[in-house]
Amino acid sequence: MPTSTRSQIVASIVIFLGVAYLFAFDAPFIATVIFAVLCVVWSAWAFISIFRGSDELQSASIRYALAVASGIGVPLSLAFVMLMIATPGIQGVITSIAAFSKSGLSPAATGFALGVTFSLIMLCAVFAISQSVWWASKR
Amino acid sequence: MFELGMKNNIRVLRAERRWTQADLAKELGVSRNSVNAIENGKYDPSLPLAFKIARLFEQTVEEIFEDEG
Repeated sequence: MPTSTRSQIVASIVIFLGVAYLFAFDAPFIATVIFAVLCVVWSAWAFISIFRGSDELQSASIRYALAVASGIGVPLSLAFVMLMIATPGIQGVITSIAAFSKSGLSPAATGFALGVTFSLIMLCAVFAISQSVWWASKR
Repeated sequence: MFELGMKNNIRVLRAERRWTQADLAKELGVSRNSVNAIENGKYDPSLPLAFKIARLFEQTVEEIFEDEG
């Protein structure tokens, strides 16, 4: 697995932990803005590196993973969120998470945030797995 | 994704010059992983890279890459 893949996985974990922190604690508004800016900068760098990277094998692996993540990861994420919504007792869980959180979000907003977060986790997982499989096939 | 690429004699040409994969990668401006995948026929290089390889070894693309079609 190349360094770029590892750095993307680390970045995804950091972003997830950052979102979890902002969600769980009453973070100042400026912290949220700084975190959002960092996420945008990271995304821009990742996007540019796909097309400007000197190594075409690496670029090909990223393009492949993006194609799989968008073609398979998106329907999988939607199915996962739909299953979450249909799970009995999920509203109680979301209400307790909202009560635990110090961010002051309503249960509806908490449910939305959790849905988006789990979708992103699913997309990142599909991206990382497909890219790892691609590299393994090229050895 | 899993289909085999074109056959090529890059490994032989490289060995004749006593270059390592890392040496060749440096000359071509790509990673050693790329050189390894191309040598093993796991990845077909782009046309610009194929021509770069051909120029480096002072041969034509057809002499280096074998069309199995």
